[in-house]
Amino acid sequence: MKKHTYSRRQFLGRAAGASVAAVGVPYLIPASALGGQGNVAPSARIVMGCIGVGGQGTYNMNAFLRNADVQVVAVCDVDRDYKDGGAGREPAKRLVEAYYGSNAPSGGYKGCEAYADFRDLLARDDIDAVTVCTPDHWHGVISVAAAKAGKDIYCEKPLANSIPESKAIRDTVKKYARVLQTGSHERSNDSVRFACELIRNGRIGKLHTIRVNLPSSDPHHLEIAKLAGTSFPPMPVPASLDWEMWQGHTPWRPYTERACHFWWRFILDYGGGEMTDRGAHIIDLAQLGNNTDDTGPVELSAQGWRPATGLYDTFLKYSFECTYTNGVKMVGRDDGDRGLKFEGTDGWIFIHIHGGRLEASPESLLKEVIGPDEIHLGRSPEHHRNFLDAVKTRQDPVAPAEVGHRTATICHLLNLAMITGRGFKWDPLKEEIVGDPEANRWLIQPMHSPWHL
Amino acid sequence: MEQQIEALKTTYDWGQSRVPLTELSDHIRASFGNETELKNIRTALLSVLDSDAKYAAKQYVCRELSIIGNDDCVPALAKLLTDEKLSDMARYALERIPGPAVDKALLAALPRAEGKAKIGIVNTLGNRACRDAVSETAKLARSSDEALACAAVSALGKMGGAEAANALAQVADGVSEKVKPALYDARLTCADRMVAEGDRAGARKIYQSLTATGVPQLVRTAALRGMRDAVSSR
Repeated sequence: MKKHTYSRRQFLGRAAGASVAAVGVPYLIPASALGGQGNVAPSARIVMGCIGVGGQGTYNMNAFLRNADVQVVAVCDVDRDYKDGGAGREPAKRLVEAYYGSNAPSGGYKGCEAYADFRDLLARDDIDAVTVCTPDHWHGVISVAAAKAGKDIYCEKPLANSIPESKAIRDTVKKYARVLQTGSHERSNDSVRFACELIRNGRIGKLHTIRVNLPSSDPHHLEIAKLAGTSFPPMPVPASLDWEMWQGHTPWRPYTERACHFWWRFILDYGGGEMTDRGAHIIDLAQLGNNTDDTGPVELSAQGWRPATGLYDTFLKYSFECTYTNGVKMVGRDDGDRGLKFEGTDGWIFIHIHGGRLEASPESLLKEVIGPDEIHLGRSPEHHRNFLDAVKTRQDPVAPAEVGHRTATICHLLNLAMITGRGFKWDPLKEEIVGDPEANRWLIQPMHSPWHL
Repeated sequence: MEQQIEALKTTYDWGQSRVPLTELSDHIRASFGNETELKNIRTALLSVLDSDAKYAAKQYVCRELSIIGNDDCVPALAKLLTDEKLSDMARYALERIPGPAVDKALLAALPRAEGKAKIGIVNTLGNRACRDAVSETAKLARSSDEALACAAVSALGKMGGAEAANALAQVADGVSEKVKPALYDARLTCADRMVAEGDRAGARKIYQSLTATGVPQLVRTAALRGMRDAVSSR
């Protein structure tokens, strides 16, 4: 494990100071390194490490790389190289070094470390912020450890794969005053924020129903449906993958490639199916429009279908209903155009996911202007940029830990209602299921040793 | 149910049909609130644990017992706590089963367990905030095995209370650099719990000690936040 006595900022600050004292700036330090010509001085850059660099993790890493005030110095993945060099820690490292190399006068750059164990990356005290883009079952342990190590965090949605894990993230982030952005990027769309402003300012009258369309008919859903009931036999673990570490705190199972990269989201130990996948986007916006970001429904019920056998055990068909204390009902189904419809006494607004295209009745709603004395939800320049700005200002980003936790909670409770076959009353203040001790046992997340929150 | 239990005992393994498991889970779900039938189911599931069933079958049984298990299931699960392969799944079930019988079983297994199994038991005692385990856990906080020491101090923080606070204060000078971050975090957790339980004076003492020179800035800031919150929660 590498030990860095000084932070990058301290080191650069001292080095620059010494150079200035000795020979003056122009001879040793190019202007670009001090922030001239539109560049950002190294001491002003947010130093980042990217944990989990598969498909989504690499996408997020690329998004951060393109911000001039970011320096990615480390990547981490339990898989060295997969998807024919398209994912894993070594391809990610090459990508980072190629990106910075293309901008370097020498045309080369060697400044990105690749780690197999996130603890080694978190031990570096020169890193300010991390991305956590692992499979969902790792979000809790890694984000909690990152907050304890003093890092700010961009964590993919859903915030965690269980309620106690996302709660621990929320509490630890608060304890150490860290900034966390949940990767529910639909919140950063101007149109989404405008729609929610219209709703919260009463432009559709009194909001009474939110209809959630969470279809499971994308090609990957259809493939899972086709494979429903298929049992995949154990396979040899690829040499590049640390399968034991990939599983982490979850109950052990032998390797089969269909349980691992990407497809893990349809196995409850690792993900929650579409309910927590796109559900974490759409239900998240229901929370925003309903002004319930720091709370949740008080009653939930759900019915669903999942395969009786085979590898995959998440729900592929579902319908659900939630009731909030303000009387608003959120009803959901697994078909229709992906998005959500806010219905009020005077009209409705539909937000399409992804992208935030709006429909409304009356259509004139979309030409409304929010007055200066009305509720404004602010704007986000872009989700990653919003996180970086929050790191600098120490203000909440648009999807802070509390928001991510409350959204994830609803998704997990709906899955739980389907697993147990019964609905619940939920106390969003105590964060307990009311009067059902057996169901509350699901809110404890035992972890395989040595992992804990 | 007999057919499904037999399949678990004799044939079920990874990559095979889960139909018997699903049928059994459906039966458990349908028996919600029917204590007589749940008792039958527990007995049947425990018989799988006591058989030559494969690991995959026993893992399934532990998952189900984590939800419907009770004191009657504790002895059979406790026997597995020192089993290298099944210890984690035994804890998986026990951690969710309420009541002092589980705490006693975990404490009894602690001296006999080794390596990861021992760390796991410490983690579970911490997660259950088992205050009867404070003195045994405090001994482990001084272990030369740094992973075990980290687990022990973290568990003490979650257990909370004056005795755990004292234990954490006493080990503070003796831990290695690698254990220190876990210790600071545990002391903050312990203080936060004391505030929640109304012992603001005890919590304040911990927070103050964590604002001292030499304590990492991250922890000092968290301690100051804790003190502020303790005052505002009056």
